[in-house]
Amino acid sequence: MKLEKHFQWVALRREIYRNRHYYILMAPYMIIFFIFTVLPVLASLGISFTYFNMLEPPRFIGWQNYSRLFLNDDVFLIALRNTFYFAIITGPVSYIACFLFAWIINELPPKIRAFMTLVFYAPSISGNVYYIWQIIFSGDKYGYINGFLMRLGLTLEPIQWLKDERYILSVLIIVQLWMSLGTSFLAFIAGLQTLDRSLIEAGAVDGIKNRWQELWYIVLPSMRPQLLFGAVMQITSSLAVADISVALAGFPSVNYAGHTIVTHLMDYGSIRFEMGYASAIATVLFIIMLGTNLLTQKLLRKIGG
Amino acid sequence: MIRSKKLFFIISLVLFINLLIGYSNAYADYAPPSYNYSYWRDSAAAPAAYEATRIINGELLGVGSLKEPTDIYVLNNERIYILDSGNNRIIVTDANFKLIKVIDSFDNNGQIDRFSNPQGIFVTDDYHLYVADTGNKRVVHLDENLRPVAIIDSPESELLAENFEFKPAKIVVDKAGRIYVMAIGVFDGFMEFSPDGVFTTFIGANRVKVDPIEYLWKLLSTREQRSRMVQFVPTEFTNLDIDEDGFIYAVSADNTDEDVKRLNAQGIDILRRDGYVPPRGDIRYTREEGPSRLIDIDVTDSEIYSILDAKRGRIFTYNGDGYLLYIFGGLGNSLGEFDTPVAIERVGDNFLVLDKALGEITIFEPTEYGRVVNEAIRSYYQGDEERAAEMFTRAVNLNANFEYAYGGIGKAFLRKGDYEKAVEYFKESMDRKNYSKAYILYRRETLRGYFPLLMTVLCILILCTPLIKKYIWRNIRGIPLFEKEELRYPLRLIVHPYDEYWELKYRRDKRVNLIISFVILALLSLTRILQAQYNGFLVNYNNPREFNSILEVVYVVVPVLFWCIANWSLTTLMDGEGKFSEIFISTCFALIPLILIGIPWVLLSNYISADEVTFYNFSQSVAALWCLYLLFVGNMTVHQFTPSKTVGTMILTVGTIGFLAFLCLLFFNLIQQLLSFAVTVFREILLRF
Repeated sequence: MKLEKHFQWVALRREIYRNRHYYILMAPYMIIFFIFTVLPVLASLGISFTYFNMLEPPRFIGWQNYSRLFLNDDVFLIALRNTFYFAIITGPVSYIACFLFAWIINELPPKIRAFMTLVFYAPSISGNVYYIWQIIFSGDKYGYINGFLMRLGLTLEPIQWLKDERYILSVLIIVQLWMSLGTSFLAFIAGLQTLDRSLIEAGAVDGIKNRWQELWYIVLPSMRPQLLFGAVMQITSSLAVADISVALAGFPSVNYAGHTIVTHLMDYGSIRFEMGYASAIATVLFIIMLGTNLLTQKLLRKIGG
Repeated sequence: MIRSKKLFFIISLVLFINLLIGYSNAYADYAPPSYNYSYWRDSAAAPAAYEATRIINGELLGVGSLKEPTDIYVLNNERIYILDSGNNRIIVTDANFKLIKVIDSFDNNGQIDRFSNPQGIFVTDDYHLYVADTGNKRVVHLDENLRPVAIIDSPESELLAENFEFKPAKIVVDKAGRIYVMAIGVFDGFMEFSPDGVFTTFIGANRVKVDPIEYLWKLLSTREQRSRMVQFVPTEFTNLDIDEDGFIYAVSADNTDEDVKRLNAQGIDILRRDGYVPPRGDIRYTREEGPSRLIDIDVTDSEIYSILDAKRGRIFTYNGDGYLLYIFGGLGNSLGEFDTPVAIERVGDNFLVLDKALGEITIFEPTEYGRVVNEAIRSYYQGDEERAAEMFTRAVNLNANFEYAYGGIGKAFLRKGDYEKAVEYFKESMDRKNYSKAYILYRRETLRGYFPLLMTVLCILILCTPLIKKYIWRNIRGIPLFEKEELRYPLRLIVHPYDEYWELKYRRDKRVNLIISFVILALLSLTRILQAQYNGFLVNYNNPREFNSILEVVYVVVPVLFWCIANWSLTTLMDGEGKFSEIFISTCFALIPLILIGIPWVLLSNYISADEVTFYNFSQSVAALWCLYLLFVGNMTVHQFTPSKTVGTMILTVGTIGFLAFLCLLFFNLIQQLLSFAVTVFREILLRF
């Protein structure tokens, strides 16, 4: 038994030595990745168990940050709930929308396709154009939606879309949906274009009846990598919504109606400088993302099954 | 021998009937027992809060008998104004009913003017007198020396019809001098007059109550027919009062939950109705009696208000949140009972009830219980929760059925930070909102102590998952019990219904399947019983007094049987392949999710707050939908139907169940009639020989 293990190690070392060139080539990226991604995550994990205000050295306080987070911080619970709403609504909806648009656009002739791709991708390259939405959802009667509703006579006075607790979250979700036709959309188009046409022909011979079956049994399984990429992108982006909340609903939003985990994190990290507590929030977010990603991967494995 | 037996039977029967009559007699002699309504809307006995002590009439006052008095008004607990409508006069006394003066006329610009059948009276703090002089179709406003300030006789406005006839009946005046008049034949609410007597607007109209059937007729009829029909008009108010803050309390005899209203300056109803029963008088009544007819309302300090039920002569007192505090009074001939009560007022904590037909005023004084309850409500209203809790405790000692008091005690504990006690008391008072509030705090407090330990254990467990998977889980799976196929395939069925239902139909042993089906049914019954008994307070709305385990089993078994029978009888006609036993098995197997989701929640629901009830409801609906889906797949597989045909049969099955239920009802009804016929015949024979 021991001998066997020893041999394993020898074999591994020999393997590494044989592929040393690859390791050297990979090294620059790996080092940078380690320093700028892995290390901060680990550090944050460590700091989350301490009290750290950037002036004094961190002081170990055990689970206190987490206990405070889950049992004392009502705002965090609101943020958690809002984030989950975002993730549950925008995540799947925009994922499916991305795929459907990609699928439809893929059917168009090449020149129109290129143009339409640009049109649909535009929202996410345009970056911080929340201002448009600010005009649309403006709280006075000059806001587009208010003006429209009042012109039609559906409402008599302007609605404070971005200042009324009842509407903030829905408005944010709509804007987020609009913004989310991004990278995963491009990835889906790429995936659809690399599709092996012969597979579809073979499927037709093997008794595929309609386009839905074609989609389920051939198209989707063969673009599983792109789907996975899209899912990961979509989940991380919908769980990390913060900018639009700050830009549209303000910071903090009315009665924390548009508060998300990331805005909570910003609050404690960059305003109050309670780094230990902020790290705990970040860790919780990290764990949530990890969990949802694992879950989606499991679900994606079922496609075409 | 036979004769003596018959004799014995007859004697015992007579005795029994006697007993019944005697019992009801004894009951009738009894003064109406005091009661209150519980959370479950049962009437629960309560000690009397008020006792009638005195009767005041015209002779006692020394002004001759009163003739159809209609209103009384108490000014700052020092002066009492009695409106003696039949004699067209106002009798003014002090708080002890010592006569001060009698007003029967006033000097109107040099002429002597009299009232004619006045119905309502109001007096302001500076002794200005407002009289709704109904017979003369005017409102008279007199100053402290009885000189007319303003006389409102025929208001003019675009809001009023040409032929409008102003018949004021009741009247209140707010601090700013605005006059609110309840006029006869006005459906648009109260008429509001500015202090100088100009009609400004209507406020607080009742909403139109529409009977859906009548509405349907109206829709179907022609314009001509419609014009001849009774129009839907809002009901009139029956009385009004005004509180210290200028809110108008109004009552109407509409028999809805909104009979009592608290109107703000805009005429919007802002009465809180958080009590166990809506503030509308009696909520339990026989059909012949009908609901309460509210005729007067009186509000005192601390938002306490009382309403007078003209039909049964009872006075119901509520606090500002709409909780019923106590009930007293009744119709009859003895002290504390009335013939035609028309008005109530309060002098301090004493009640005055004016009887129109008898022309007398009954004075009620609070008993110890009434005093304690009043004091408790007042202390709580003033924010003195400590004293309120003390008073509520005393009230509970006098009346353990007074559920509202437990909530008051709970609130004091909540304020003090004793969450555990608060939770207990809120549960006692069935106050789910506050219970949840207290419970969250209590749970946090408890969790905070265990949090580090809990998290550490959790982290260790997560880090050790691979090890657990490798060594322990394998061993658990290796236990012979888990190896049993019979235990595993029902569980596999709920996640892979298509494959497993097929296996169920064609591969597996039917006898074993049947046994498992019965076990599932038994487990589901058990789940229902556990749910009814042990579900958390926030999600459990079962009245523990009406709980019956056998009925719960029936509720499970009968629908399943109905479903199977209906489905079987339908599918035999629709070329379904399934036999009855197969249908039964597939249906039972489809019920597994209800058990799997239901049982953990029985435990979990005891540890949730109101916010988390959403999760409970969500998972219950998931279970139901999952069950429906399994039912669908099972049906499809058993009968070898296409999906659309399965959906069709399932819908038809539901219809058939309705039909079957109807037949059963008919059958039982007939049996019952037959039985009662037999019983009658038997009795007849007994009585004759």
